[in-house]
Amino acid sequence: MGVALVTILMMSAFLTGHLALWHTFNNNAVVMSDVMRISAQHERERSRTFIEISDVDVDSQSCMIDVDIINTGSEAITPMSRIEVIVSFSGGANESRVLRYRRNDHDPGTDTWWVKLSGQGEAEPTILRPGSTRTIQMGLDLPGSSGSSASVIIVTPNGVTARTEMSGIETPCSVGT
Amino acid sequence: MNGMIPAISKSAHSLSEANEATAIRIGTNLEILGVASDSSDVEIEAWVKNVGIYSIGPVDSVEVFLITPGKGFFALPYDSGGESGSWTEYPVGSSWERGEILNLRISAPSGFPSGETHHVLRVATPNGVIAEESFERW
Repeated sequence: MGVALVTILMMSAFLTGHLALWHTFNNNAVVMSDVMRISAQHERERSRTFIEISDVDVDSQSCMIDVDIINTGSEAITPMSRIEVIVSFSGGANESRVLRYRRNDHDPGTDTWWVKLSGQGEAEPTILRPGSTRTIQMGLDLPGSSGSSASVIIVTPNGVTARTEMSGIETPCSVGT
Repeated sequence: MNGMIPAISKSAHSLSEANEATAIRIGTNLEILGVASDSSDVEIEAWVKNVGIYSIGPVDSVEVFLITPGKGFFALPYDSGGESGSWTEYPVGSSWERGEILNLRISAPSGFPSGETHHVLRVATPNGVIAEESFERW
């Protein structure tokens, strides 16, 4: 009787231990699988995202820069408001900056960017579909008198970048003045 | 028997922790978007985007290195005051959540070969994920 009881106790201890470890392994496998799946999906989207800058137009009088971007990848870039625009200047008189996004119907602010729409009621204004082009317009405040060249970096929400160098900016200038 | 259950529990806990650390490392990724470096200035500015699926932090535990191939290797300490030879985030106290850009301001250390054209910026997260970007002094 005593031997049977000890055997049952030992068996139940082994079973409990086995179940506890199995549960942990199972949970860990689920967590790892989720992370791998999400990371892979994220990287797949990134690897299919490409943008190119096709044209740059500098308007020094109004201190605005137009940049045409083409989605040359196979993923739609959305929402466009989560695109990041970075401008850096040589010479040191004007600070490099990350521009803030503003909606078209908001007041233009300095150091902001917005999507230049071709007309009222444009369909899907916040999506850049594969093969399509949109113009990003930037309004800057450049109080320092520095060199006329700058770099513009456009970053998609998933971190894919396109970069261009430009010249012909006459400083000082400020948007809206 | 008394020692067996706690031992199993401890093993399971260690496995879970190791698994979590590995999962976070797999999901951590960063991309150096650009480096602005003006030869007339000792400050180097960089923008680094968190392109992983987790937040990165604490920001002051991020490691920043300036490398000039064949000339020098500088491990820069974090200093929110912007001491020479250190780096800080701008604005100070920024978080670095998923999708966010961290603006690094680096003050070149003394001895940094600023006359050289080609340099490399290396950024490492606290859990050891590394991004590198070559840049030129204008």
